[in-house]
Amino acid sequence: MKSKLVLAWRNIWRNKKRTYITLASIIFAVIIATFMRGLQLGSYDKMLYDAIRSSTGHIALMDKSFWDDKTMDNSMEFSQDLEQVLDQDQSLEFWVPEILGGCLISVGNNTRGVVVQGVDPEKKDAQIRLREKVIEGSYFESEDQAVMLGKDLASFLKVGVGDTVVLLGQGYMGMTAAGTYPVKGIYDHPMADFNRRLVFMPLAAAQYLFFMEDRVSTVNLVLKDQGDIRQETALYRSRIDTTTTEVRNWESMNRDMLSAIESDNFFGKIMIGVLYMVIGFGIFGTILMMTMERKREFSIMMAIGMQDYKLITQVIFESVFIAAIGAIIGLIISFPVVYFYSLNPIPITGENAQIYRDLNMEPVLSISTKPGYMVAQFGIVLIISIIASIFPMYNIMKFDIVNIIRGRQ
Amino acid sequence: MSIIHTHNITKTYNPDTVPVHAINGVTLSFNEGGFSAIIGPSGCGKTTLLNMIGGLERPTTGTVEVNGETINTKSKRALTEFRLKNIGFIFQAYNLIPVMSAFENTAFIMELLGWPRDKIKSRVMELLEAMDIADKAHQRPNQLSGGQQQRVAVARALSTRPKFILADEPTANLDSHATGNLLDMMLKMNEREKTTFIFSTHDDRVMRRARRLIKLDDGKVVDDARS
Repeated sequence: MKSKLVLAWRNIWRNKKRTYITLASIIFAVIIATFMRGLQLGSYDKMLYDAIRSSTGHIALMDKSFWDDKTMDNSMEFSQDLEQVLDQDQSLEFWVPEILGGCLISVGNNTRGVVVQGVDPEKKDAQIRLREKVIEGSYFESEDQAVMLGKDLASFLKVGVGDTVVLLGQGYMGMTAAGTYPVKGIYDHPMADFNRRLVFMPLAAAQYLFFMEDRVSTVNLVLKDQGDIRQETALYRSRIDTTTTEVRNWESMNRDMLSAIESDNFFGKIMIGVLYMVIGFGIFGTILMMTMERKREFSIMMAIGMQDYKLITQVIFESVFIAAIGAIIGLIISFPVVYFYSLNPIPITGENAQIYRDLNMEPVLSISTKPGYMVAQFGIVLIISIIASIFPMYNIMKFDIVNIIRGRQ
Repeated sequence: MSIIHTHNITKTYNPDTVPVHAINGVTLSFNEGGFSAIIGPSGCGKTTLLNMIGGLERPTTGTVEVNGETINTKSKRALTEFRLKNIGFIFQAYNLIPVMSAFENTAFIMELLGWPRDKIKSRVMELLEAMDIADKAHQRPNQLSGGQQQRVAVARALSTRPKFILADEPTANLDSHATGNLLDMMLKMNEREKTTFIFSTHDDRVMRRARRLIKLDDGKVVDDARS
């Protein structure tokens, strides 16, 4: 094995310029592919991370009918027993009980339909870091009878901190939910819907507004480790009344996003595939030339007793050697760049940023540092190199060694 | 004792288009320890005959027997194995592997046979010393003269003590001094290791040293003289 590797190493440097050009193309492809794939996977991770953290959680507890019909009547009982279980669960990073209710918000002649979220202010801050997004006034507290508005909604209603807004909607069991609330704070969230259509108020105030004493719409659970999802789902199934309440995981609550990711991922893979196909032809050309220019040497080796399969192994070694060197250098160059941008996501500005906000996405390009996709680039290049060796291998098996040695071919 | 026997072998190229009869019914025997030369003008079939004896080509008709075993019916893989274990080849253009040193080229066949490292090392050094190129052991072919390269090729052919050596025009690219040296070396190995040598040549210097001269013309043996 060692002698084969030594021989392969020497052989690939017989024509230095050609090897450098082939290596450069592989290195370039690996850098581009790693960066493209990293951005793609990073964006998916960011989208899911945002959706899970700021909205659904890894697991959500809710009434069995709530997911299909998000009304107050389909709320669930939030018992002290359940609260105790949640408090004692060491697998949770945090959990957020929420009330979600549709309302009209009105000031003077300005009215808009909004979603009122009744939340625990501290838990919500842990979830979406709302406190640091406050641009006017102050962050709300659990005893407050006040609301927090997004800056676009405040601008539409022409209200500032201390002004009063009217909320009118339907509460639990068809009761009319109506109340006036002062604006305690105005926040600026990177996601457009948060700024335009969300009104935050303390959980107790929302329960009072919607006549939902001891009831919530959902309890969203964010886990420390996503790998615990199965056992946590089982735990909560055993602690709730499953005839009326269900435990949903994040996949079932983000199906649209997952299918959009799946389709985008497919096209991303096609792009990378095209890139690698071009590189594959480069490797193929090099290996074919390396084989054909040594056909006399190979024929001599076979004449003196080397089996063709051993020569084929040698050619594969050489092909894989070039590919591995290129892939490793490519990854070594890529990694610091990828790591830098994973710590410093690329901000998107101007009109493109607004498009991201309109899609409820933070306007940044995140890049993934998961080792899996980087190792995959290495594996893909190796597989391409082996595929590129198939035709040269076939050629070796078909060598007419007598005529080649005698210079007739 | 005869170790190689060809029985009425023929070789016809392009049998379906324009047939070329390279060998026409050659029957020959070669004894162990011989030092024979196949001679004749260019195109008379010397290399073709040598290739058939060495299992590189199959006769169109007739049989080639080595140690009583018919080799021309063997599969491609079995023939390769046969060549590895029984025959040493020396080619006109040296044909050393350019990325390997003289030592590694000489060791090549022993490595294919899986000899242990220490045994390979001692055998290679023994051969390179016998060929008077031990000091060039770590030089690559492009750092050696033509004569030195051919001596490495001979050392490679002799390395596993094959039953016989087939040498196709081994001196064609050498000057008279290098040719004389190489023939001395080969004769020494022939006497010391009792290796059978069969040359194809039209070099007078080789013919003078050979103990048997087989003359071919138009693919037929026209003379077979022993000294």
